[in-house]
Formats: sequence, C-alpha cells, structure tokens
Amino acid sequence: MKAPMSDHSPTASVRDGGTPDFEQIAVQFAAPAMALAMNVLGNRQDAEDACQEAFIQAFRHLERYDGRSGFQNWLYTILYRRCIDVIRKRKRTSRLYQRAKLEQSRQAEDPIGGPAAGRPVGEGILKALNPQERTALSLWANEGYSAEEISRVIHTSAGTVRVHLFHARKKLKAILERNHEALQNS
Amino acid sequence: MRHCKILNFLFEAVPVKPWQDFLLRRHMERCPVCGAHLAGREEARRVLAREEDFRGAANLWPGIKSGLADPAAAPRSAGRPRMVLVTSAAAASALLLAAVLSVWLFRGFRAERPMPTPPAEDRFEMNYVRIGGQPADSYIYQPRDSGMTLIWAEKKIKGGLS
Repeated sequence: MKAPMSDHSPTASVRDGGTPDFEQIAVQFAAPAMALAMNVLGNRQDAEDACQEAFIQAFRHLERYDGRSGFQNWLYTILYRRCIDVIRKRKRTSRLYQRAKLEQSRQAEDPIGGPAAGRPVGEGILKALNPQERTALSLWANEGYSAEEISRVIHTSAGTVRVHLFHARKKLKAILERNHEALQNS
Repeated sequence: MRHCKILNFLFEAVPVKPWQDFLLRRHMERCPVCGAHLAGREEARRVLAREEDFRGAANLWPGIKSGLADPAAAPRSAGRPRMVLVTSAAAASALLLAAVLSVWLFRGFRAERPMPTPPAEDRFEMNYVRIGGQPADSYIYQPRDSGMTLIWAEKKIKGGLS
C-alpha cells in the first residue's frame, strides 16, 4: 500500500523560487487523479475534463499550496470540488442518460483506453453510492487514506467520513453478495 | 449477535452523524460480526477504477497546457458565489410568492364562508329528487331577501354533465 499523504514535492522548486515543471507534475499525478475522478463521476470524458480543470486551477494558484498536507492531497481537494461541480451541472441539465450512451459508444471506439481503462468500473455498483461515499471509498481503498485524511479532501469532519465509509462498504458488500448469489443461482 | 442487531437498529434509527460515528468507533469498527457485513479494501478495489488503469493512458497535458495558455478557459471558481446569489434570490422569491398566495387564499376562504343559516321556520328542505324513479340532479337557488326558492331538476346522464 502506498504511503498516504506523501508529499512528492513537485512544487519544491516554487518554494525555492524556481518554476515548477507543470508537465512533469501533470504526468506524475494524472493516473491517480483520473482514478479518483472516474470513481466519483463514473464517466471517462467527465473525469478527464474534471482532472484537466483541477490541474489548471492548481497550477494557476500554486502559491496557495502550503505544503502541509502533500501535493496529491491538495490536488484531490480541488479535484473533488470539480467533480461535485460536474455532478451539479449534470443534474441541472439532466443529460446524464445521453452522456452515458455517448460514453458507451466512445469507450467502444477508444483507441487509448484498453480493456482496463475502458472497463465499466463496477458502474452499476458505484451508482448505488452517493458522491461522498464514492470519494471516501476510493481514497480509502486505492490510496489507503484514513478518515482524517479523507476529511481534509472533502472538507468535512472525520466522523462524517467514517459514516460515509461505513455506508459505502456496507452497500458494496450487500451488492457483491447479491451478485454472487445471482451468479450461483444462474 | 443480538447486541449487534440492536446497535445496528439504533445506528439506522438515529441518522445523526456524531451519534453514528460514536457507535462506529465504540462497536462496529471493532466487532468481527459487524465487520463481516462490510466490504474490505480488496473487494472495493475490484469494483473501483485504479491508478494502474490510467497509467500511460491518461494524457491530460495537452488539454492542461492549452487551458493554462488561454485565460478564458480557466475554471470558473468564482461561479460559486454567483450560484449562492441566484439560489438566495430564488428562495426569497419563492417565500414572497408563498406569502402572497397564503394571503390571497386566506382572503378567498374568508369571503367564501357560508352565510348564517336562516331560522328553521324559513328554511327550505328537500330530501330527495327523483325523475322516473331514478335519482336526479337537482339545483336549488334561493335569492337573498326573497321568499322564493327555485329548483332545477334533471335526469342524470351517465358519463357527463347534462
């Protein structure tokens, strides 16, 4: 498991008065950021848009990063807000259905997204969780974050995160068991 | 086991986060019986997108680069306060509308209050109106300040007004 909240110090050059290598930072953090966005949004195109916007925002306001919590954690905080914005926008325009259909056809043709990148990410399963639960679950399972660390990303108390995580794990277990039973019965 | 069920019931019955967190820390996170109903990290990873899925496949840099070069493409972080303003304005309008509607409805209600019932000796009463042995629709009109009572009766027509 990765060490959570590790500061890879990509912005060390800023603190030293130099210019950071944005491309190198983007390359370094693109995959974990995409994984989180994909888990929260369940849609590759939206995830890419949210990630790009989060990186742009982070790079534009790099001076606000104080280095206390690790760059990845700070980036996740921005990314989470972008994802929530995307979800709000989706609700407003009610285009989720059309998007999903478009995404399906896009994924079928996606040349860079191999079977792994294009896989549905347990889409049906994750739909049963709300965005906070999906974020908490993703950070907990993929990044090994504790409730306190997740609480800094989603700007809530550690107690609330524990509750979100509990609900997420309980729902997930129930769905997995149901799927397992259905498979056995068939 | 019974203890767990009671605590689970209390957890669901009182959806207050501090209380739920208290129960989680005191019992559910330590109890193997409760833990058996929760997905583990490995199970979660099986349904989640992982970093490995996007390594080498997520080339975001061209989009970021063009976004950094184009100030117009900047994410609108100032959008939130504007959204708050719009939401507040909508809420205020809804409240105002509700208040106006309440006043209007209340007035209408007062205006439609039934007239005081006339004394029993002046009251016109009719038990049932029938035409051809069948119940009929009847309309009674009693003009104010008049001893006259008009009765209009007609056969009931199935499925609509006559």
